Order: sequence, then structure tokens, then C-alpha cells
Amino acid sequence: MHISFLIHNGYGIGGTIRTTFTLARTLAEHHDVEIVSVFRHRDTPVFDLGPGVRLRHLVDMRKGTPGYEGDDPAHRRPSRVFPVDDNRYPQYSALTDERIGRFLKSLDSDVVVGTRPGLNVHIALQCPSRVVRVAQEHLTLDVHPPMLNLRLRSLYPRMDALTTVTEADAEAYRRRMRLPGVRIEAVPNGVPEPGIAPGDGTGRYVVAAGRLAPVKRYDMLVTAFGKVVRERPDWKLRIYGGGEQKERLRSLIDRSGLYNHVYLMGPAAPLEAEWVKGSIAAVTSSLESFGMTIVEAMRCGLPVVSTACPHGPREIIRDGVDGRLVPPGDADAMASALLELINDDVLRRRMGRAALSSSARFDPGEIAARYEDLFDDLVRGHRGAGGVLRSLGRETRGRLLSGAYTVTDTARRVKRSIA
Amino acid sequence: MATEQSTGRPAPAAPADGRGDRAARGPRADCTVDRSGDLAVRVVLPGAAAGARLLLRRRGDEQEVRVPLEPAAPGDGDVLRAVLPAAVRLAEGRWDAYALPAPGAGRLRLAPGLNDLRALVDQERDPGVSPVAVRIPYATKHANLSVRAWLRPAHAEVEELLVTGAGTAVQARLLGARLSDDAVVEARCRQDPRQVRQAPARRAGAGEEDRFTFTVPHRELAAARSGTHDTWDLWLLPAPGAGAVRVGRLLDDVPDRKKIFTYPADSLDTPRGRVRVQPYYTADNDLSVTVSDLPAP
Repeated sequence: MHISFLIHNGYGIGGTIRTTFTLARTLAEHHDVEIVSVFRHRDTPVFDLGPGVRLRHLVDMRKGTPGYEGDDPAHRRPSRVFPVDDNRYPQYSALTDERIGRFLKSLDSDVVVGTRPGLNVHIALQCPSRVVRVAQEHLTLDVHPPMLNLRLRSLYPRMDALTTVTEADAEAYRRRMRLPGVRIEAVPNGVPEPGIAPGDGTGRYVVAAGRLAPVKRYDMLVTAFGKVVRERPDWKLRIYGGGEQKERLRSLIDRSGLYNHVYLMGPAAPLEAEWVKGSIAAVTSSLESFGMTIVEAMRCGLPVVSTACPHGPREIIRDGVDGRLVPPGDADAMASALLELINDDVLRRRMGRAALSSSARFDPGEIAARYEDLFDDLVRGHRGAGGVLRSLGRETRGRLLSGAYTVTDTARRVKRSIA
Repeated sequence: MATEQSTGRPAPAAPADGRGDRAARGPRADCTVDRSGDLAVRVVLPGAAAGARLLLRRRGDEQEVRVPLEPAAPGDGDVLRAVLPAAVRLAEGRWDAYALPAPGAGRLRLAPGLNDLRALVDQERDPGVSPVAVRIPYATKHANLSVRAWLRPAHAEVEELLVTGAGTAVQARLLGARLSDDAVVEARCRQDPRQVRQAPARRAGAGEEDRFTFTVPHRELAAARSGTHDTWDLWLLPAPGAGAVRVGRLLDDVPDRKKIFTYPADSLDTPRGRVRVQPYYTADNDLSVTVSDLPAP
């Protein structure tokens, strides 16, 4: 199969970029895979693409180079395709409308995968029907602004499939979006086996990692760890990551007198080397659309104590088997769960080993195989006898829901099928 | 031991200099430090010849240490491994890491890969061993691989520190020297070397050979201040007539702790106005105390 991923900026750093690269790299072992990045602001991508994946850009934003296109007059005119309520909207323009449109129109891939709502909208509107169209949701339905959801609801019926990273989110789409004929499937993110021996559970460190943002609730983690220290002053907490909450957390640590036990380590890459120094991982988020760090820690042999927040943790951790789940926002519950693992070496190590083996289901090979099956099904359905009729049926439904855009698209499609 | 040491003999010209990070990033090296302190460096180096070396070059005086880079496994010619044994002393400083793929070939600046430093986190040290040697591989701010080294006849390792109304109270452990009953900690003012304040260093408990506690009285430092911003370095004098030992924190996996291991400040009123007193780790991970003027409330 020839598979194209459409991504906002493949040259940046972030969860979507990393997980897309991992998936593309793995699929490229058997398929022809390219990543098309709307923007490019540096010469080389940060994450490893492997030898098989082609990466190209549509708009060159490398300032001070001859190819720089940020001054193009069309780039100053607002986009008319990219939805206003996708928070990347300010970066999109008449120039990106034209470039993305031209790219999609000339696309000869079997499958195109959009990696954020705004780009899925582009695909719904501008991609010819000969290509199987897949919308990926890396966030969750709950966090989209209502206006964006209205737009997606009218356009997603044109997609062949929608993938979410959790079952819970897939269920939300099935229940609240009602997308007849669109296959909705949950496929978690892949996390590679770390290139380092797993932790052995002997150290006395709890490790957390993520942006220092309010949603991560590190304030609650510091409070919970204060309770841990009262009982087990020989244990310490390391929090990796940078962000807006740093000063607040710093002063909380100082006011609580925890500066000999809780350390803000700053950003670290690769994180695997830091996980294995710990014996327990802690996640206190109030929201995790997936929970990449949970899987990463488990793949390093750490049991994770996490809040049972929506949506990811409950689908990754089996409470009491390979980690612990506690009610969100409850520092006491977090502290007791941590202490339970701290005070029981045998339990902690057993859960660590269980985490190591159960997290193998997130291996990129497993995840890529699920995508492969999905794409295969869709491509066969698309080409098969019922394909044209089915997609026409979907078009009709799409038109009922989404108005003018569908009419032009159907017209184009009818013309093409006559020719 | 298959290690060559030299001073001031420059290696052949490199494509990129020690600090620079150009688009042509060097090969990525994975470092592992084991319990014994041996530092193993693993690097994929296609086309390397027999005689390939790992080169460590100290910033400032260009002292060099070379270690053979040999196939990590028989028949796997591209994957090379060098081991810098714990017994090879690296002088204190920052050592930039390079690969020399073949005798006479230009050096390649190494980039950091996965550094497995778990053995450094809660390391056991024999307090009787001198000198105290520490080596931590790390990624420089230009994303190159270097090794931070300390080499001191003796060292006083901070274990816990509390900022209290009475001052900065420290529990530390002495390595490489013997603690006497007459040990004192000296605060030496960098801005005015005549200013020295002493506090007793007491054994942390009965039967403790090497663990001790002391309190730096903030009021005394504040009263002695010479300018708007003074820095006081802390030294342990373990016994009368013995050499002074710098107090710091070196024995883990953190090469640069200044911004990570931070402490709250104390503020107090003096006849000359309000001052802020705060312990901190220097760029060399040594413990010092700053005293600075605060604007009147």
C-alpha cells in the first residue's frame, strides 16, 4: 500500500509528531510511506524517521533561507478551508489552502491519514474519493470547542474511518457524533521497546514526567509525596519536564519543606534513561487523552500509580496487577497507593514485571499491524464491487449533513466516475 | 592498561570544534557507568579501522585521554565499544568526547545517545578511598557528548540541607579524609578574602565515623557583608592542620545541579538594612551561600 500522512509540522517536537513517526517508520517496513508536513521551520526533523519513510513539506518557513515562503502575500490572507476552531488556525492561510488542496488533489496514495481535526477537514473537502480517507484524533472529543465539533460532525461522514487513541473516545464519537458508514476504531499509540535494560525496582525514587502544566496536577503530586515522606523519608521524587507551572511548583516544594525530597529535574531526552532510575512512576493528570508516559514507564519495567482520569490510564493500567489507579484529584489516595508499593518490595517488583510484559501490546509492530488491517479492509472495500455505491451512499449522507461543500465534491466525483 | 594519556598534544583537525554543533551531527554514543565506576562508551562507526580510539579532551588545557574502540561483539565491525576504567583518573573539568575512526583520521565529535547512569544514583562509596573521583557523561547545551569529572583528595558530600531561622543546617559525609573531634566548617567570603567565619562540625551521631552536621549562621554572614552581594564558599577543616575540603554534592547522576537542587531563602534585618541569605550549588556543584541586599519593605 501507498500511505500518506498529513501532519501540521513534522519538524517539531510533540506527542503527535513522535507517534506519527513511530507508526510511519514501522509501516514502512512493508509499505510505501510518506509524511507530508504542512510546515517546515528547520532543516532536519527531531525524531527518527528510519530509512524507509519520505518526508516533505508544503510551505517552507525557514527564515533567512532562499526558500522562505512566510512573506508570500497569500500567506497573509486567512484560510477558508482550515476550521477557525482548530487552535492552529492562525498559522493557516490562503497559501496553505492552496498547497494542501493541490497536494490532496494530485494524491495517488491508497490511504491518506489526517493527524489533527483541521487537516481532517482539508481531507474531507479536498481529497478525491479514489483515496481511502482516515481521520486520526490524537486528542479527545471532549476537549474540542463545540463549534469545531459541529464542523467535524458535518464533514467526518465523508471520511472512510476515524481512529481515536482510546476505546472511551471511540465510544464518545459513536454516541455523540453519529457518523453513519464511517468506521470508528480505537488504536492506541505505539511505544517502542526502550534501548536500555528495564528497571529492577530496587531504587528509592518515584519518577514523573510531562509538561509542567496545570492539567498534570503536579501540585497534587507534591502534596501527596509530602505524605509519603512523613512515613518513608528515604524515598524521593523526581519530576521531569519544563513549563509554565515551574515557579509555582518550586515555591510549593519550598513552602512544604520538601526540597530534600522532591526535585524538578527539567526537560530530559531520552526519558528511558530516567525512568529506569526509578522504581515507581506517578501520573496525577486530570486528563490524559492517551497517556504515552504511562506506557513508556511500563515498558521500562515500572509500575505506574495513576489517576483514573479520562481517558487513557484506565485502558492501559490494570489496577492492582500492573499498576494502581486512584480517583483524580485525591492526594490522600495517591499517597496511600504510592506507599502501598513503596512499603511492599515484593508487590512493587511483581507489578513492575507485569507492567513490562503487559505493555508489550503497545509495541509499534502490534499497533502498525492494527492499522494495516484497518487500511487493508478499507482499501478492499473501496475497490470492491460495492465500493462505488457505498461511497456514493456516504456522500449522500454527507451532503445531508454538511451542505454546499458536499455538493461540489459530489459533482466532482460524479464527473470523475463518468470519465 | 590500554590507555594513553598525554597533555597538550592536539589531535588532528576536527570537522567541528568541541563546542560547536553544526548540521553534521556526529555519531551517537551510548554511555553506561557500572557499579565499579567503569565508563563504557558504545558507538556505531561504519568504516572504522583497527586502531580506532575514543578521545576525551579536557576543555581549557586540551589534556587528552585515548582508549581503544574495539568491536563490541566478534564479527560486528561497525559497533564499537571503549571502556574507560575507573582507575583512569580524569582531572577535574569538562572533557569533550570524540571518536578517532582510524589512526591519523580526523576526530568526530560524539553526540549523546542513551546514557545508562542508574549505578550513579544511589552509589555506595568507601569513605576511606582517596582521591575521590567522579565522572558523569552528559549532553552539553549544544547537544554534544562530554564527561564532567571531579578529582579531589577529599570531599564533603551534602546529604540533607535545611534552611532554618538559625541558618543553613547541613548534614554531610566526609570521604577521603578522617574527621576529628575538632573539625570546623569555614565560610570564606569570595569578595573579601579577609572575611572568614567558622562553625563547629559535629559528628552526626554516636559511632558515626564520617557523617557530620554543621549550621552556617546567617546572621553572622549578614553582619560581615562587604558589598550588596556576597558569596561565601563552604570548606570543611576536618582536623587541625589538615587540608581544607570543599563542601558540595557530587555523588549522583546530576552533572549540573545549580537549577535543580535549589533551596529557599532566609531574609533578615541588619543595622544596614534587610538582606536575603540563600544556600546554592555553584556551577561546579559546590555549596555556597549568597548574601544580598533587599529593598526596604
